[in-house]
Amino acid sequence: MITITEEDFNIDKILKDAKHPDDGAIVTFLGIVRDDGIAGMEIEAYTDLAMQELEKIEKEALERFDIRSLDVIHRTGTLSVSDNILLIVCGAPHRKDAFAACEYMIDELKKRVPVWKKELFKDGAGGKWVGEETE
Amino acid sequence: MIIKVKAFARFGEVLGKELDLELDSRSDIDGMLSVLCASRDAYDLIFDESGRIREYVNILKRGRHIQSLDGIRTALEDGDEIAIFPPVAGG
Repeated sequence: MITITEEDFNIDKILKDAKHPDDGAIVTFLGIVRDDGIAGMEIEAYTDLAMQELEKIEKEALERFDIRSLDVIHRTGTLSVSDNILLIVCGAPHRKDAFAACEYMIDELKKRVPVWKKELFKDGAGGKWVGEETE
Repeated sequence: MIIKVKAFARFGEVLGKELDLELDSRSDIDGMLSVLCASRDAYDLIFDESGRIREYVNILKRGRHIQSLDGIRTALEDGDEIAIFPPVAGG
């Protein structure tokens, strides 16, 4: 399941739903807003293309690794420090493939999926887009 | 013809997040950029000092990068959706 949403997610429910008798492992990655002296973060996505790209990466991971399920939820909108940004949940018969697939998903997502983050300044005077300094 | 332009992140702040552009019927990406980058700020964001599109600028026509089409000579059609954005930074 691939989702891009402004809503927060219930990790316990997602983990419960991900459990399957054939699996021996569920690996999760939870990305949260780090306090780098910021008030929060604004996250923007080119949703149509981001969904397509996430589905492509999911398909690649399912082909490359011995996993049974891969769920991704990416949030957009304005988030505060410690808010959830991204959840990846990977179910597999064995842990090694679950870890590898989870890492593949986040690495490829960061390279390919059209989503951007803006760090919001504490004084309320705008913010800075992440990655801008490398442009 | 009218095309829809969607710009994201800092590009959206400078160019406008979503706009309909009216162009001549035989326009291409180059022509679209001339209209889109009429202001100095917009021009400097997209083009370098020698007038080339900056390396970090991504331009997609209907979800396909123009580099896989005909670059700035990629022809536009009525109703096209063009996306323009800087390097991605999600996760």
